[in-house]
Amino acid sequence: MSYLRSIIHLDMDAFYPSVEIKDNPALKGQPVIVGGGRERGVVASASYEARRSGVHSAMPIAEAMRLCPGGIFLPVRMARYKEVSTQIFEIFNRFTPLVEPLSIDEAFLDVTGSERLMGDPVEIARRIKAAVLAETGLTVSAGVAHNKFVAKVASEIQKPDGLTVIQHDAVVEFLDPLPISRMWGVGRKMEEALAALNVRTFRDLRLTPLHLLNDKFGEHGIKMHRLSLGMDEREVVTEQEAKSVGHEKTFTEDILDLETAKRELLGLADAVGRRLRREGVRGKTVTLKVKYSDFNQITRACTLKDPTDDGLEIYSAVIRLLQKTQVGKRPLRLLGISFSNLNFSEEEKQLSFFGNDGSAQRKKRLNEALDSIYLKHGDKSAGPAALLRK
Amino acid sequence: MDISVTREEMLKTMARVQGIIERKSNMPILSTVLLNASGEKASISATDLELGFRETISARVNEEGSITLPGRKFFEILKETKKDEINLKEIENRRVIISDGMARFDLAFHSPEDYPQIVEPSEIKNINVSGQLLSEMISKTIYAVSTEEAGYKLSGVFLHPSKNSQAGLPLLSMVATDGHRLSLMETFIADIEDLDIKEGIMIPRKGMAEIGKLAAEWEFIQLGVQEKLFQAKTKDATLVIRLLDGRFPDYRAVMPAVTETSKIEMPRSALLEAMKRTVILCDDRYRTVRITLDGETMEVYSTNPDLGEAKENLKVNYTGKRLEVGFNPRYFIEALQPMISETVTLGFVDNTKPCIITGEADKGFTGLIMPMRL
Repeated sequence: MSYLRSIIHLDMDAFYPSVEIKDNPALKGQPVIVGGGRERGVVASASYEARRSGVHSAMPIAEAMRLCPGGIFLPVRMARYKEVSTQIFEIFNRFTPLVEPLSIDEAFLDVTGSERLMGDPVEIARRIKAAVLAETGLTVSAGVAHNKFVAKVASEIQKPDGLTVIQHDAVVEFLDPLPISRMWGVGRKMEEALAALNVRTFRDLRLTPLHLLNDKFGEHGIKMHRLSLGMDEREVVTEQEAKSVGHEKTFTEDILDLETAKRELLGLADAVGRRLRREGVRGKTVTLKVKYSDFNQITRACTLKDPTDDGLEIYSAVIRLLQKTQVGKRPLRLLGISFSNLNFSEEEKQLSFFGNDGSAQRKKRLNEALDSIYLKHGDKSAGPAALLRK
Repeated sequence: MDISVTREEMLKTMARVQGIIERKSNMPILSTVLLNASGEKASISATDLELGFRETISARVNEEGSITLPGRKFFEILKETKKDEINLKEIENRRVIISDGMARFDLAFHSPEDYPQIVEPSEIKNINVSGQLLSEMISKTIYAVSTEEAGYKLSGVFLHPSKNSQAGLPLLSMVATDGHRLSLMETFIADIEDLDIKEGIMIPRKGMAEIGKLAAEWEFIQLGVQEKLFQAKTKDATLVIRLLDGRFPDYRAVMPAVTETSKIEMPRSALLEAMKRTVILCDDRYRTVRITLDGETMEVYSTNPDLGEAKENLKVNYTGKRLEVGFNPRYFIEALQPMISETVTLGFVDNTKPCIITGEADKGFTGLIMPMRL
């Protein structure tokens, strides 16, 4: 895919502290540090004033207090940040439907198709920044480039309230002098390994022979080399396809015996099978979740050879997993079954040696018949006889 | 207990049992090994309840006794230790001191009385088999075992005695399948009829893999069966495996008669490499390669709507009528990899019947792969 896209990376400036300041303007200009409490005693985010004292996120609160004794330490109010985040994403969505959230305060926008309606990408970035400031009082830094990677690096260059535009023909010039630690996927370990090859900047990496990187880092080395040239073909992904389908049930009274647990699992497996068929997918990896009455929770998973959407097949897989739990020996309060590794493909095409094809066909016809009954008469109209209550 | 052992010997045994001990189990003792010292020997036992392994190594025994040791951690300690000799000494309150003269570990252990052991069959009739031969048979079949934990009756390798069709020589047949591909090894073993497996037995995959490792190390290995237990034994090591229940399907019925097939010959490496290249485009959703046979060319083609397509032509000598058939290329790769023949023969019937793989130098081997609908 070589066509040029227009990507904007948007990253809110010191998001948590900025929201705190917005809610309490008296804090403006003060070193505000959000974190601690239930967040295991580390800094979640710090205002630019606090950052000047050397405070950064993930640092222990105790250390932040030492570095910044005059700091204002506030607890994390996630619900409030989510509220503001929703408002911000609502603004992003006015400019393009192609919004990929990276976190609560960061997103990629693909505005390739919005240009005729909204102006060129730089103009769009300006308008987004203005709208965010006008409607929330917060500033956001933007990077504009022809792909995700360059846009993200660009937005980090001038913070806060930055707008960095990297034209397609200026990418290498822009990246070349940057330290290699700015590259996505390069942590401290990788930085050290690269330094051993005398690679410290994007330019150094760009000029390193590909075979050398391949020998030393394999595929990852080749990926890094592409990034050093500013090449990145990843698309902006708006919403993830469903990754799993599952059902769980918390019991009003703890379940003690194996037979009752098995009956509940039959019901759950049947429900999961119906869901899979309704969504038109088949799953391969089945996970059994068991929460004991003391709230201890375990999961056991196995992968089937062939994807399935049949309740009974799910049930028999789950029963085998049950042997790896203490169900029946220890009281439990919750059972759950979920299916991941979902397969949206066309019908299974692999042929088998041993006449399974016939029984698979019969099972499929049975499920089709049952599904049409559920559709017409509701979910409770049919089901395994073992689930009938006296 | 108080013993000294050489690090190297102990490390070798502990490396071996890593594949047996359980990582995740609701019986914590299954992640430990049992160490028993008496006379001039120390024995290490490991089990997952389905199979049990015991190996004896030499030891300087100052005081006899039994302890359990955390299997994974003890292995790591041995790996990191640089000294040649290790001392293990039991102290009060079920603790053991492991030391190499420099480092010293003080570990708590489970009661050795609680250690579950598979009882080794007594008075068992054994046959002697070449380790190399057995290891080859296993590596050419085991990959086809169903990995589906569900795989009721296909989750093991099936062994039964058979006879060579011409000379009537006694053979051991070893066969594995997951329903989509099948691999069969038939090897002459003189006294196979002394082994009590007339109706055939099924050895679970994990156990078979362990037999394979043992066989690869020893020139000869003793095999024996009693009731539901299978035993493989060498001078110092004993492996006992609980056999799987259930009947293996009648696999002979699905093998096409040789006369039905149109055969082609080609270099094994060319086919293997072509499959490895085309598999690059396969993923969970699209995993079919299409083989087209027409006169002197065999086209190997794969496509993935998200990516594109790959195509490769191989020169063959096909005399049948034009055939287009789909396969999962991974099955070919797994079948061809352990083979040694320079040239392999593929037999085709049509696009609903299995492809048969054989090779001159791979004596006794037959691989079958069922097609995929195109």
